[in-house]
Amino acid sequence: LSHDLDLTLGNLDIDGAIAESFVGLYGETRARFLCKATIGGAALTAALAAPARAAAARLDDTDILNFDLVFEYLQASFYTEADRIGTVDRMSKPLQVWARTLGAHERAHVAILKHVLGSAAVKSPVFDFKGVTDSPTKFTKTAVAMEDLTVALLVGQAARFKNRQLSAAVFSLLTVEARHAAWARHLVGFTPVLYAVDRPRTLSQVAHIVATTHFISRRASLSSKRPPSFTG
Amino acid sequence: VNDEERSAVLPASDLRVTADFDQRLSRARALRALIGGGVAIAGGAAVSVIGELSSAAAAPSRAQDQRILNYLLVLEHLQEAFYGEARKAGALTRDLSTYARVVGGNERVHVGVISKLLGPVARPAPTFRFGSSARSDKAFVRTALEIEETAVGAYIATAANLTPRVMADVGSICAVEGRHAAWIRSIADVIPAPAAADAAATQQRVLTVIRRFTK
Repeated sequence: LSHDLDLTLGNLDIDGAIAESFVGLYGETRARFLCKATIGGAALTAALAAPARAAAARLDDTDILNFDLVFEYLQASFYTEADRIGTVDRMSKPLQVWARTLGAHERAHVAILKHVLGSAAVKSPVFDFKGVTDSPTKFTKTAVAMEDLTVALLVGQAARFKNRQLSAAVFSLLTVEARHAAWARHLVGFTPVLYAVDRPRTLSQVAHIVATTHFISRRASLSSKRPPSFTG
Repeated sequence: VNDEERSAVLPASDLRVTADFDQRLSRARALRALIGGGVAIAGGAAVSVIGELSSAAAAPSRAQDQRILNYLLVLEHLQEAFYGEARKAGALTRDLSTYARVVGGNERVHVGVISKLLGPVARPAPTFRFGSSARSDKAFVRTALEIEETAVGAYIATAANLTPRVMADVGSICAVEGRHAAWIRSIADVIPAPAAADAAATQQRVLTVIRRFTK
């Protein structure tokens, strides 16, 4: 699947929220690469897996949760838009159930994280899905990749909270994201399991950057203006 | 209670983080109204942390890690043995046969990872008896659903009580158990992700399942 999916983080991340996070964590060059790597692609996941900087400074739990929140915003917007513009209606019945269930779950995750964060919650970035949500095929493929990426992010972060109650909370979201990924993969005919143990992503430092930059209001310097090209 | 079951029993403190959540589920119900959309949020940990982040839990320790890891190891042994039995019986049709092969391989890796974390204090696998539960598609699906969901719930209930490094390794396994649960549910044609947040499994529920297959 990864090979069919040319959508990049840069394509989705119109105001650069994710790109800004990556710059702080990985530096300019690597961030540029990461944002141009296809979502769910081997290059992206391998790069995310590698430790970025040396030992992370003590992270603020709020920062980590806010980073998770950005990804939940991304997912919730994606499913909600596809449903709102009628794309989901044009899909098979099993895919409709899947897309609507995931939309409801991701909106619930946004609400949960916003509620936990209270006034510390970052606002939603603006996402531009470049027509991907118009096409049932493109939408489904992108969703599969996004779910796998979210699993990787949460696996990397669940154990990093100072407050273990937040770890417990993230574990109960993590298995749901893992179910989403497996469900999607099964529907499109791929093996639901990628690895015997899901690969963690060392994104703890990202959270710090997310909280300390004004990333919401800054335009992306890295986001591509080029429309995504699809082979599938 | 036989020795095998006793070996899996955890003191209440090892489960305390999650127990705290479960006492605050009324907050989850309040949140449900907020979210709307008709999708129920099960009594998972996620919702009940809201607004109350106390530090009541037992401090993580190496001894607690060992108890929790041995608890989870019994479940991994159970799963590995079950899928091994299913492959040996050879009664499964195509989708289920693939599932049993792939997932069985994953569980073997999980046994290895947890055993390595435990080192010399890893307890040996109990003797399991699966009766006819691996000898037909229908019985296999029912059992696989039960043990995968139990594993998901057991990881959620205990993982946050581990020391950070061990917790990170266990989290990688936890996610895969979620994938397994969704996979077998997909095959069984039931909603693979029934709630926005997965619930923790009580120790009582976990031990009931283990007991069924160690008699």
